Amino acid sequence: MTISEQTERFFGKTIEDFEPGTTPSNAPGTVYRLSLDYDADTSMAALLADFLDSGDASLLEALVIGSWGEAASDGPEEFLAELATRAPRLPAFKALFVGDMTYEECEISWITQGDYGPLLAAFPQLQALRIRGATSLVLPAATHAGLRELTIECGGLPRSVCEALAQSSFPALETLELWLGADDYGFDGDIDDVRLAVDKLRTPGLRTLGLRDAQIADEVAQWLATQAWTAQLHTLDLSLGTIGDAGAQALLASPHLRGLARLDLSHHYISKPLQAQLRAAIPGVVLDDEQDGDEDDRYVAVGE
Amino acid sequence: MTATSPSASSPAARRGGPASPFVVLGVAASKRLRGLQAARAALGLPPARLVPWRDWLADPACLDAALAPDVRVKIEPPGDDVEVHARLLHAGAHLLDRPARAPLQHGELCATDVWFAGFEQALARLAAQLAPFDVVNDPAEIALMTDKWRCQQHLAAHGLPTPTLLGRIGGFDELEALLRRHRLERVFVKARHGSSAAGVVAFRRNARGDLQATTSAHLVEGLDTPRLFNDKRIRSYTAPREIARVIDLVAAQDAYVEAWVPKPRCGAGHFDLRVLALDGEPAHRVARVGLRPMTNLHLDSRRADPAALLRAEELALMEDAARRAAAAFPRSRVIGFDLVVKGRRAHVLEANAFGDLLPGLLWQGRDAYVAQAGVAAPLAEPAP
Repeated sequence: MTISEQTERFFGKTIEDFEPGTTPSNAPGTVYRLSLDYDADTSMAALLADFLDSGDASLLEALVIGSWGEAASDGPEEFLAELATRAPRLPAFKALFVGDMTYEECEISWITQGDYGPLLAAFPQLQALRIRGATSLVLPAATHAGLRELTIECGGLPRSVCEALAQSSFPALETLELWLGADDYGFDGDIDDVRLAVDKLRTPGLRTLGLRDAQIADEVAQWLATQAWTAQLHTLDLSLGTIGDAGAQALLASPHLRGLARLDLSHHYISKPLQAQLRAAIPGVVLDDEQDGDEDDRYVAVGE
Repeated sequence: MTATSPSASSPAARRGGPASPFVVLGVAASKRLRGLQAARAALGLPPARLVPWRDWLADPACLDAALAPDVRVKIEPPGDDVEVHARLLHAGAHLLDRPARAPLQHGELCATDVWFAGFEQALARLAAQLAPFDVVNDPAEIALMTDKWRCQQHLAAHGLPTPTLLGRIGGFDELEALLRRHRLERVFVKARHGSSAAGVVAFRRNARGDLQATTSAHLVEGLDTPRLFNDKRIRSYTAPREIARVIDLVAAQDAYVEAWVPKPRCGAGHFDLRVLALDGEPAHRVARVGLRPMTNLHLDSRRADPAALLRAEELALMEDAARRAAAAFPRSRVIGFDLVVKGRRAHVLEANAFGDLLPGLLWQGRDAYVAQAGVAAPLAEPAP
């Protein structure tokens, strides 16, 4: 394994762990991750305050929040409120990732999320918001003029979140990534909920659409294949899900997807002949991580 | 075979040098034996003489025939030899006054306590038989390291930081009681005599009442009784009934509970370290990076160079912990330690008396078998 494989990035910056007691640099290529062990005796709100007080917060562009201790029982409200309170002193703040936790730190479907309404209201200049975990996630119907990237990673996207997204407006949105997940892990909606949300949120400037980790990946592909607006996309990411031949055939038959620079279908159940046809028709297709399983024995990559 | 070296009175020679006849109690056609013989060939040494475990169990005197005064003996694990396993189980059942049981199915994780009783008795016999000879790892210390519960207490008594030991459990109910008592949400449950990840369960629960048990032990029901089988694929159980059954089956063969020590992160996963101590000094080392709570290398974890993941002071901490842990086993020259180095602490997770099966891993240009063939004596003397 080389160093580059370990390197994690967010908002175009390399993630580095913040060590309490040190002074964070303002290097533009670095974003800090704040995280606590599950047995830590401090709170994320305190660590966040410590971090913001120890550097020049007025220059801070982005932040990654990792584990906040017992993320399986406590939501992020306290430290999100701390961040929102300090918004007037964070004029450059543009990107936030909340919940950058591993399987070992907290099972993704156990991560307790919270209400992001106050945060969106406090940071009109926010450009990128990435949320991992959808349990107790509240995204109220919102209008945010600046948001360019919205990502929700989870083992199962609740219908309530889809419904709120379908009533929201992010006119600057360029990247939308939703992990739909599996019904065992909280996906209680259907393709219509997803369709309504995507239809409402897609903008003329949308370049990257990810509907990932989907148990209903075939249905998602079949719907997208009929949508002329997908021709505007640079990247379509249907990876981590259970796409099989039904979805692949729909994608092949679509006149709108031929120009995709990247079509990521990794973690798929597509047969060899259709894989070959996809490669011939769409040079940007990615078909890594082939799975083995019958139609009724397929699993998303990130569930439990 | 009994040629006397000119420096016969030096400690190194008394313990046998690289050119001494080498006897290994092991298993024919095993990776370990192949690695050891390849190393000896590479060094221009005559091949080690194998005394198979199954032969020794049938007739311990067969080992005597191989013992010359300056011989060096290495005890390798009895491994996958089905006959040896059955014999040790049989002996253990006799010792523990348990009914003799039908042979285990391939990969079945069962009765590791009974197996250990048989193994411990074999080691005690070896200790007596090999007392006058140079043995790479002392049989009594091998027994101590293979009993994980005693081993951790031994390490802690020697001042090594180990995960807090929370107690032994007889079943899932006792695990729940223990968690309540200690107000914990996550722990490791370990079969006391399991090797590597066998019988290790990472258990956690949350305030919503969800449970999760992650393990390489696969529960198979629908046979005469529920059974566990070791598998290379780690899986997670979330159904309380299945979890209770898995824990009960592990606890039935003697299990203990220890604190879940957070590992340092690497990408989307975490890593711990395997450090091989040779003659008390840290030598081969590898970081084991995995996405799951068990990072054993045969379980899909990836190798990485610790020097690329740890800062200089953390590497020093790692080496110091391995050195101090090795000092707790003064009569063993080849020990694999599993360590977690995070922040300013190096926890010792396990000591492994057979921790040198690290194919392809080099330290100072030599693999683990070549390096240990050369330890404790100068390489200058050619084989006679």
